[in-house]
Amino acid sequence: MKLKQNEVVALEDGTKLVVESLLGAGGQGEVYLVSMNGAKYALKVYINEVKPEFKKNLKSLIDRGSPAETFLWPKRYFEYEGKVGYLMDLRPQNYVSFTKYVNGDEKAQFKNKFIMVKWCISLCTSFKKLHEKGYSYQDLNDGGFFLDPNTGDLLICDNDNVTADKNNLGIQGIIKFMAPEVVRKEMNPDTHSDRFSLAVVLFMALCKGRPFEGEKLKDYEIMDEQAIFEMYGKNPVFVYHKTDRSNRPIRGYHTALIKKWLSIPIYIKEAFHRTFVDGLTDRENARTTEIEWNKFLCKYRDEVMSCPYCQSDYIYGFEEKQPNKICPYCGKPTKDVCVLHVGRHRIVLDLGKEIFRHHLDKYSDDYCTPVGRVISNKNNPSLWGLRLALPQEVVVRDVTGKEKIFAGNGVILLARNLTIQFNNTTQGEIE
Amino acid sequence: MIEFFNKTNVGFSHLKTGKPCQDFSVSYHDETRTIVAVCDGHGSDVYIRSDRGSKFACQAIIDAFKSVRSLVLYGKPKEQVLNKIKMDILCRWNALVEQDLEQNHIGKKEIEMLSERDQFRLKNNPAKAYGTTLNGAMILGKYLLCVSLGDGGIFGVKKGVVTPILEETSDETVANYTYSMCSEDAYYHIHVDFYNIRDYDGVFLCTDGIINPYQNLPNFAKSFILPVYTELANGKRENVNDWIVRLGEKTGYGDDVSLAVMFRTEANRRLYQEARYQ
Amino acid sequence: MADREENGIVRQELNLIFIIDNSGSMSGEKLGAVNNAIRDVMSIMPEIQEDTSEAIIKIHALKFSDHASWVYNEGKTVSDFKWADLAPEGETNLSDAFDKLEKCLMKQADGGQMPDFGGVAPILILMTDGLPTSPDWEAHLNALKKRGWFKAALRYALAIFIKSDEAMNILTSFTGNPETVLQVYTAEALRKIIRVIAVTASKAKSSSTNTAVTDNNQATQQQIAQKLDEEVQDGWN
Repeated sequence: MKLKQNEVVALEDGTKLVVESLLGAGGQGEVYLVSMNGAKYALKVYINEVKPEFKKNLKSLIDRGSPAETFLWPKRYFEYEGKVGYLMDLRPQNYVSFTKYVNGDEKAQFKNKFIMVKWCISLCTSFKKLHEKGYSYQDLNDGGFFLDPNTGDLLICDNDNVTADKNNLGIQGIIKFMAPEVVRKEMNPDTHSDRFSLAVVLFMALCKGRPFEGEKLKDYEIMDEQAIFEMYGKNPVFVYHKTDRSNRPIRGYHTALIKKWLSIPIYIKEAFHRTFVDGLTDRENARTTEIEWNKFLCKYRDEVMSCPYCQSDYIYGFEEKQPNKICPYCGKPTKDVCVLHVGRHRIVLDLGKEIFRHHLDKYSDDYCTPVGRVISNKNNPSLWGLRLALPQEVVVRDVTGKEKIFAGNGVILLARNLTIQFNNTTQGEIE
Repeated sequence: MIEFFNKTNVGFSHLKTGKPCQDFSVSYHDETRTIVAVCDGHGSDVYIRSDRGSKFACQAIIDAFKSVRSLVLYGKPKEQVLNKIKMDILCRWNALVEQDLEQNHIGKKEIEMLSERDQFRLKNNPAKAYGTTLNGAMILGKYLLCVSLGDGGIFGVKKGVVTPILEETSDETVANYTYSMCSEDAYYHIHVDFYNIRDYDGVFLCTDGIINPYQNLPNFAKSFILPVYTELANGKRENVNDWIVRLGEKTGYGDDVSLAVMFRTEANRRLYQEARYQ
Repeated sequence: MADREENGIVRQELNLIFIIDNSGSMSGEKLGAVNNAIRDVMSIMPEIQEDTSEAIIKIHALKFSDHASWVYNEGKTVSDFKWADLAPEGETNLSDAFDKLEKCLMKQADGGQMPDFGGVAPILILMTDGLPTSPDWEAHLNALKKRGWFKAALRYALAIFIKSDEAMNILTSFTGNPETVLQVYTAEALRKIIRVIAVTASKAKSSSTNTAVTDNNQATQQQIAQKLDEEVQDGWN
């Protein structure tokens, strides 16, 4: 341990920190709970000697500030009696690690697919902002991400390897998340390899599987370095490659993946295919970008709904060969739901679904602020309404042409053939 | 020297309803190894091709075990080697099922008798049609390799004492509920392990059609395994053959019955002569 | 050899388990009807046993008041089971009843009454008239619910003169299905219902020991529902 309990250390400007306990330790460093002026923080201290360029980068990250509030960003630089590290906020208790989610830990499972996709959108939005600042993350892996299973809120930790794109501080990443050219040691990580790794994380989030671990697993008696190099670097084959079927998921083994893939919309499947097949070689143009992901994920979020019989989530199927008529999990008929058409969006108005700012404003990239939510009537739960969260009044016209004005926080009783005038330029129709 | 024996017989309830025998058993022997397997295709309506499923499972065991070159690990991690064997059996069974489905599509006629729910289950997971358990063992060098999934069981015999091998310890599988090769998480219910062959005089593989009528291990050991072993050790294979036929067609619960046995002839024969007259 | 071999083969056992509340509140016509009903069932059982060659019916009765105890230490065959009327006494310790039931539903090798290999799903019939007085019943029920034999069992609960939602919820939690919790308001109906369930279930279970449990339980429940419709229409609604 680098620091002792109750030890008093100081930041460079002399501010005192009292070490309270060790929160955790990893390969790179130890994280302590400290108090500073009565408030609690986390202090990361590196175990090994820290190179001057790493220190310089860390200071620069702190100076330039966090790209988005989802990053648990370094706040203050720490160097005291030869020990180097940084101060950051504590991770709130409601977050659980993405690793736990992937491993199937019951307490770490998203409440439903709507919440899960919301988290994914938040992830893509965060990386978009990081990349816009000229940074690349370089070490995307399951250990760095956290989630609130009930709200879909995201937290990104371990941000100290972030650096200017095309720069590298010596980090390569974790092989199962790395782009093949990085595994093959042909290139250092950058924005393009970040995009590849982002797709791997999204694949794990949406499908609970790994994109290159299929039947080829059985070609290797043991998973040694050479096997991993071949599967991820030399010759990776996407498990759902359209023509090369040599690495399909194994029925009876990849239980979750096969089940989840059933309800992934076609456009998301295409986006994965592009990144994991064409993107293996065309690193600059064939890896789905954060903006593209957000477009697809929002579409997915809009059409997700749940089975009234088995409570599984599936999609309406707007872009499938034909819309789902039966639940893919239990075979019972799908729910009869209203669909809100607004602009090019189609939103399935299932209970609990939300509409967001970008739905009503085609120039907005705010995918996370809700402006309406489907709720049920407390006295008669079979009646559903759209609770608005808008600054302005809306006008609703029914099939007879009769108009009614709703306050910005009013509730519109859901029915077919309603027209909602959200503002001067945006009109929605419920079908 | 290793001697081996295997026998499957249809049960009387299948004779009565005209259903095919859903059990299958095999044995294989060459200069390096001896393999036996017994597999039990499930009986409920939805498992329309479980007679083929059990046959494929036996074949998958034989093929996978034949491809095991040695059980001497030379420092290789044991768990990974065993997991590889599990996965190999699963993939081979999957491939046989897929091939069969391609050659013989599940036709409307084949499923028209099924409930809507069962038809959906088959459509979602056609492998379900082939649902089966799996029990296999191989003697290779000085090792005994065993694989087991679902009910039925493998029993080792040493000096007249019978012990279950790879026993399913979970409390989930009772009263006709069993883990299956066709389930979506089959891999996680396959157990594989290997033992020093000196720890056993012989090994018995049985489907539940044989075991269940005896209800508990002491009774099964005393009333079935040890007498059968004694007959086999004394070269009276015909008697055992007749016994299995009778157990299936008359005295058991009417379920199909399969038995496979491997034993070392150098194990003390006298011991099992004595056991017989206890 | 043939003789020895047949000695070893044991007929399948079908366990019919009554779990009876004989707390003080059951006094009078309620417990009277239960006592009567069990005698009714016992008078029909020999026929059912005769008709089936597949399984041997074993009857168990667990009574619970201040504590739970088995009327016999092990399941009795139809001819050996003799019913002595239960008398009302004490509290309603449902937790202890769940505990004793759990031990019974373990394999013989583990000290229970269920076979080590194979076996038929048991029939459980719980009868009570009110709320348990043991507050930790839920923890005991959760432990019971983990047992494979409990999950496989065909479970019924009879709510005797119960109008409380809370008590109904406890019984639904036991059966896992609101349709197998039956509300009973007259002694006559109680007698009939117990008979229909015990007899129909034993018949169905003992003659189809080779089909999958879940399918079989569903089919049996349908048969029982149908029989109840026919026989107990008047009086229990």
